[in-house]
Amino acid sequence: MLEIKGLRKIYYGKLGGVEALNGADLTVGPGEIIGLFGENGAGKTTLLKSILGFQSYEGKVLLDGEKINRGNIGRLSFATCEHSFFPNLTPLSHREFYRMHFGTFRDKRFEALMDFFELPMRKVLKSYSTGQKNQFEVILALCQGADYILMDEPFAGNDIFNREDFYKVLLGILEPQETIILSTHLIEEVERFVGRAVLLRKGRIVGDVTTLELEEQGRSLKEYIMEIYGYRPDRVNKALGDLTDGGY
Amino acid sequence: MRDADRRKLYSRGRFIKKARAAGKLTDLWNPEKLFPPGYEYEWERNSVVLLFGIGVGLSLQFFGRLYQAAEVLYEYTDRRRVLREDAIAASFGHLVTGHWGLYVPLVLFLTAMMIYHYSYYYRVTRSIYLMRRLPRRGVVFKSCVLGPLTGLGMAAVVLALLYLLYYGIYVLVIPGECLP
Amino acid sequence: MKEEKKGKGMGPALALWALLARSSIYKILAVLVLMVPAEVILFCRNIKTEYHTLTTTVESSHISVVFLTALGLVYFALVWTEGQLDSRSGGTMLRLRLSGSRIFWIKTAYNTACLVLLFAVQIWLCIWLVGVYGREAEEVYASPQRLFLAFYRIDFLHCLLPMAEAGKWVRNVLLLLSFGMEAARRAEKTEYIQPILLYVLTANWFVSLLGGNVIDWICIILYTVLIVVNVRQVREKEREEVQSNA
Repeated sequence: MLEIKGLRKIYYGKLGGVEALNGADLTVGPGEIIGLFGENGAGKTTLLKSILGFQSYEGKVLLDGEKINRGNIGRLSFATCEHSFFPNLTPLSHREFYRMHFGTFRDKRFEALMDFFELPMRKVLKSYSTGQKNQFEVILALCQGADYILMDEPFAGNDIFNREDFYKVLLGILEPQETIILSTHLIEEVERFVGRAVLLRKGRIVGDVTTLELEEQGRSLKEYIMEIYGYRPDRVNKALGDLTDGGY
Repeated sequence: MRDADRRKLYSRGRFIKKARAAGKLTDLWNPEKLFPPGYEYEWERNSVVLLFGIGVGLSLQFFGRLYQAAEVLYEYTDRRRVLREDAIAASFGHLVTGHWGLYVPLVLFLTAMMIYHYSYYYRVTRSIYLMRRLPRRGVVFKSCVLGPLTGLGMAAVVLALLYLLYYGIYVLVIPGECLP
Repeated sequence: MKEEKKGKGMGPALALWALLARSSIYKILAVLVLMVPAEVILFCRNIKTEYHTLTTTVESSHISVVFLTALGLVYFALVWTEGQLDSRSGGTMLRLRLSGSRIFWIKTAYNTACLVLLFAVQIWLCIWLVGVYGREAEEVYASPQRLFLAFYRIDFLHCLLPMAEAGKWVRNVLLLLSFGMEAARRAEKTEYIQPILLYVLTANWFVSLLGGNVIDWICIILYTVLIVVNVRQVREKEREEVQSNA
């Protein structure tokens, strides 16, 4: 169980402090697939990085009752749109590296995914296309052998067929104890894939609902998010009206 | 290089590559292990060799100083070169004064490289996110400092041998009775 | 349809100059603002100490170390900000309709101007500090020709403003040009080993004895090689650009 209690993070800059997270509370059980949604600057990336201990924060992050430390950090993996692999190494070298450092590395899964997505094993990663790099980044996160797989907008730059394939493969290969926390803007795409949606707004968790509950209510995820955000569809027409009246 | 030699070298290289790939060859000396993963260390190695070479090249001024120190011990009497009475040569330490300064660029460069290695984890990709998730302690620190420290150690050993050689030459050139 | 020619007017060049200045001038001014009081404090602390001549005052105050640190900070600020500019505003620069080689020369001119500014501030500061010494120090140590003699007797001041020594003038000019070019070219690459190597060598060998010596020659050769290599690379890139546009 991953428990987040009262998570707070302030970034200090020239114009004072910006509160990226303001008392976020979340409990994630094993085997869940959670979609983390929110507008730009809502605090999604900050939340994921705080869980992994990449930055200081106030509050608590506990993994099965223990703080995240060297002993249990291997149970968390991370895939980011910024990419965390070594660009001058090949996938083969990355496999060696992961084997050396993570005793739970899944060789079979790695080979199967590389084969499925037709990624060359002996080519250095800096020569990969953006889409291929994204795929490889996610493959590494999935094959580390972690129980909690955190993904921060991993599909930025991938085509729709690529993404669809990935969701299907992911659902097929995940084991019952593996948990995914996926931060993305692609609401309609991941709706069929995630089991739970957590909504962030201005550093707070403003919504937490399972897709089953939404189904029972007869609402889509997009409608739910629009309602929570107070999104007004008429504002576009109003803005256009103002602009055209102004002679632009 | 003759074609036969080139073929032999190439085939040996391929043999080593195959053996490594099959896991049959343990790397006794693999410089890649001293640096961050995927770091292209060739430029750094060449710079270290250049700095070391410049330092050693400039240290050859020792021979000029040694020559002058030796000449001062003699005088010319009736066109004969004769050792001066009670002549004492400059000490070896005096002849190599300031030599340590020749290697300061090397030390500074290698120190700067330790910081540069850390910045490697932030360039192009954010591999620091991977490194900070490793269960083993000190992997990042070791990857940043091992290479430069090894370079410093090797330079120290070579310089120790070099100055031992210089001292040997000094003892050979300066007459025994004139040694300080 | 007529192909658009690369802009030859002053407009795009000034726009690039403004872009460069906007991204780095405050950092450079900050370095100067820190350097000047640091040197003044270090120098003035040493003036009244017994038996201190101007030479020993300058040497014991280690203002050369402060200057060389400032040189490093300015140089790496230029390397880093131009690298950031290239990666984040590369598209904007291409829309200025300047050829790659023109961009390089404008960057080189800007970088060199920043370094000349640093040298000018340091020289002016040294002249002022010598004046302060003249007023504060005991009469026996202060001679009417102290300013002229200072730039001959004190190695650091002499290397800063070499007076009649042509070799050091050549070295300094080549130093400024090579630093300027390296910062302009480095923006296109992500490796910084060459700039670090160049700075480490310069910082160690900038202060050298009066009269030409081996180290000055090594520096002249090093800077010349860097300048030639950079110019060649720019020309090759320009040729490739012309061929691909043809």
